[in-house]
Amino acid sequence: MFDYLANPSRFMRIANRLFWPLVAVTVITGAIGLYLGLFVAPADYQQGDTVRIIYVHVPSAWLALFGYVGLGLCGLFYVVWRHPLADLAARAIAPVGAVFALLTLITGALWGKPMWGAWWVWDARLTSMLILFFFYLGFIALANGFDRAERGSRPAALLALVGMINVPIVKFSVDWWNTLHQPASLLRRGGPAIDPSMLTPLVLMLVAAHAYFAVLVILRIRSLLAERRITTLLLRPGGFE
Amino acid sequence: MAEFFDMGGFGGYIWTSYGVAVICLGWLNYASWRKAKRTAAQLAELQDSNL
Repeated sequence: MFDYLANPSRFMRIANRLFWPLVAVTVITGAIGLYLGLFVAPADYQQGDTVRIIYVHVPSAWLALFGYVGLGLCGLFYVVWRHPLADLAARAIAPVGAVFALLTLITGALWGKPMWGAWWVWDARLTSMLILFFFYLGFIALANGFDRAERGSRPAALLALVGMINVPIVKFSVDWWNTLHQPASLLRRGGPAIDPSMLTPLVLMLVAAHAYFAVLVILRIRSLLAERRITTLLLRPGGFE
Repeated sequence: MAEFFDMGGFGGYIWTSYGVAVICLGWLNYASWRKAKRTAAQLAELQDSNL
């Protein structure tokens, strides 16, 4: 399957076919999720209305983490098989994942201030999330830090791989350490610990965030592929005119 | 309506969260579209002139 998808034009054909359905999924689930989350879902008995921040915070956090898994896998494919599409995909994922990681940190702080009394605490979950954000920034800096973009691909891919160590730490930090951040409410043994009235908008927002992430990554891969072709055209004999 | 925006006194935190999300994701969307359009146009131009 990897060989099949590793052909850039075949990959783009499939990605282009999925593009508009993904846009539709983003808009529809996002609109219903926002409506339910802001107007219909009740306020929490402890957190009051601030609980509505989770409809942004949790999807951002999931995508920051899933995005990083994608980045790490691309790094692996690039380091081991030197596949150029893996490099392009990683370059497309990194800025999107970084924005989701930043959003996680900002919305978390905006929830932490009224609920914990602090914008920030050096708790294992928050700290590992901040490190995840720095890995994204490091990848972007390395991938784009050379005159010829391809030179940065290998060091950036290696950095992405090293950062994979941090992924389980982010996910399990709330179980391994005594954190102020609450433990998992969705992916836990015994099923989600959230009432359906709050679970429904959260799941819808999660679906919207995944679809939106895919939309942005496809768009960016498209640009990067076009850029590569432009460079090839310009570099071939007679290309400069 | 005012009650809805007040969000039990937490309106500032909640609307800032949503606002930041809209700005960040909107900007990402705009930048990605613009880049895709620009590169596609550039490529088409080059391919035309190289025929």
